[in-house]
Amino acid sequence: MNITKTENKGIVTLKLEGWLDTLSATELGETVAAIETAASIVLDFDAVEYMSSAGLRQVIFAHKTAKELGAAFSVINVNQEVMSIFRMTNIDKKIKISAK
Amino acid sequence: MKHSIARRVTRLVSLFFLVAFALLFIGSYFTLAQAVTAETEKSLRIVVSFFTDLVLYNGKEVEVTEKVDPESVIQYADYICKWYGFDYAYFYVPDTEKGTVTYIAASKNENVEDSSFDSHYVGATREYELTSGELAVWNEEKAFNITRQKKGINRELKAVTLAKDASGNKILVGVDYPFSKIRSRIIRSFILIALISLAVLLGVYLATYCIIKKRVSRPAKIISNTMNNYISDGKRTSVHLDEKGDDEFTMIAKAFNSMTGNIDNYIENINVLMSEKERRNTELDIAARIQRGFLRHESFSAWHSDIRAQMIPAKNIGGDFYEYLPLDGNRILTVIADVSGKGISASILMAATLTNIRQCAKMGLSPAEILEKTNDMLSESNAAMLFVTVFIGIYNGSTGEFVYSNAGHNAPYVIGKELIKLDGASGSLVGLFPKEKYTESTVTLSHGDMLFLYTDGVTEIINDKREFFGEKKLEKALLDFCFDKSGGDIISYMNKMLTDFSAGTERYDDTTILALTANKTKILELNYNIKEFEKIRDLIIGLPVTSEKQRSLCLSVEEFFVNICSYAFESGTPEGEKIRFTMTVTDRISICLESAGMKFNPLENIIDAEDYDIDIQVGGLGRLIAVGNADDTKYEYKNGKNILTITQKITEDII
Repeated sequence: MNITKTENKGIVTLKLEGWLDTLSATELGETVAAIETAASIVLDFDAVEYMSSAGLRQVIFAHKTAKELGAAFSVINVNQEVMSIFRMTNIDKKIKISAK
Repeated sequence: MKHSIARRVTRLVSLFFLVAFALLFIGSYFTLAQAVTAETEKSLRIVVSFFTDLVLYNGKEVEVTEKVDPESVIQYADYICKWYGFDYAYFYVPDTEKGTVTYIAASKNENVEDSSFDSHYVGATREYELTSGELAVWNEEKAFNITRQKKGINRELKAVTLAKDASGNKILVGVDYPFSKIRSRIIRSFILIALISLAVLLGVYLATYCIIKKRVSRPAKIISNTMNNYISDGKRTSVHLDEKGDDEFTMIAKAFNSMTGNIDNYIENINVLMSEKERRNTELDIAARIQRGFLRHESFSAWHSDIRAQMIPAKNIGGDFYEYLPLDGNRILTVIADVSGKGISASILMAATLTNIRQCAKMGLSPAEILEKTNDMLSESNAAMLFVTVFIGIYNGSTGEFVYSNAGHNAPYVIGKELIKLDGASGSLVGLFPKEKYTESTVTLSHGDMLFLYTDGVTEIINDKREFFGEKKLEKALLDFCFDKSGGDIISYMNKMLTDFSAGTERYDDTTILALTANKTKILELNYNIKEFEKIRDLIIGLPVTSEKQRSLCLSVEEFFVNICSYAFESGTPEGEKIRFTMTVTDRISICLESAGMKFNPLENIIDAEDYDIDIQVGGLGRLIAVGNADDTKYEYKNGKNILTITQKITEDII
């Protein structure tokens, strides 16, 4: 899993790449935990092929972190397969998620 | 230095002088004695001639000539004694018949203490028998007589001659000369000689010492120091000896300079050669590493087969290589080859061949087609006339068929219920003749069958009796091998077999083995650790279904696997406890996870997504995802084991 972090006018964008599974999900958690201030946190899922519940948990963790920092939170560019996981678990109703 | 040349020469010179000294002493003694005798004789003659002039003897008394004072004879005798150093001088006339002598005159040296000397003995007569010498002189048979005689403890020289007076009367004239005087004269002259000799000796000694020191010792020391310094602390230093002069040491110095020069050149050449060799070795090393980099990992697992391979390179770069390449979910390409030659050329040819085979395989060509293309490519520009023996086969996991084609390579074996040699479809070597055609043969593998590919490095390994391992021994070894063992086992088994056989000999060729075990059912024994999921993931990604299906199945298995790992044992996993993963591929993919621990049906009590509150709940979504991504899931509890089966259909259009 590759994570590229960019920051622009308080918008922290984490561009994820690869499989967000049980083996790599903690990496996302660690990156999110390192964010100290942000107006908005964006997870760019453009290159995410796979997401399991371990990945999903880290997305929820990021959502909570944003809430604590008083930042907006969104997941963008989610492909169909991964979107189905969000839908299956009803998370798409609770977090701002946009498909590709 | 104990045996220094300077010392030896000095010692020798000293010895020579000592000997010369002794000889001189003896020589001078005799010469002096002779000289004294001659002198005595001469003095005596003078005495006689003077006496003849001075005295007159008439047979009775001494009469002195008119001109001379009577005392003159005595005075003269005194004078003679004093002048010539005689102890006594006397004039006497013997009476041979009576046996007496009458002294006419006698004198004593004033230095001689003799109280008995009586007023010059004048006119005294005493009994005295003439010696034969004196007699001979008296009888005029002999002009002169000298005898040595003892007088007390001293020795003296007694000289006698005959004189005649004016009337012609015979008178004997005698003198006594003490030996002690001769000795002291000898000693005096000897001391003189000795002093002179000593001075000369010392001079010669010093001169010799200085010359030797300057011309021998010093250059010898310089040469020896220089030679010692040539290699100091294990390193060579630049040294040069002075070549001035024209002596033996200059000769040695020149020889030494030329020798060090030659050694320097020689070592320089060796260094150049060494660095050249090192450079070449480094290049070879890099080439060998590049070559090894081309090779695939030594083990590979697909749902339908396990591959284990090993290439043990010989001393130099050899030309062996193996290759496997999954073509799709069902098919895997296997290659084993041996490039002729060794070193860089072999590694270049190996790289070219392998790259070409890979490209052809990706284009979807069959084994024979790959060989044809590769042969055409290599033979087009093969000036060195190098060639490759290649065996290519494609195994289809879904049908069990193994299609192969052989370009002059050792025929592989199938180890199954019996040992089958795959000696079909053999064609000519790759790389020599363009437009060669290759044929194909097919063999069907059953579950557990093992395909054994090898290079001639295996059969041509030699023992200490220079015998080849050979095909017969190989076949026997393969027959003896327990068939249901894995690919890893056969490689360690063959390694031991070959090492035992070739003990104490060097391997001249690479030895390469590739073993493919066909599986219809794949079994993994996994630890209760989520990291083990990687193995499952790699297997599923190789399955003959679309990548969406692979991911979907993966998702389902991951969630269940993580669930088992996290909850099966509350207080740590017992030692050696494993999760048994079984995967069977037929018209569907069936994955079974068998685990011990707490009885738990993961299919029950799955939370409702609608009720899930992300702000309160952590987890619980996994099983929901797991069930949602599998076509079918089943749970049973049997013999203390939780047995979960996940099934995914394979539809025709996606294989």
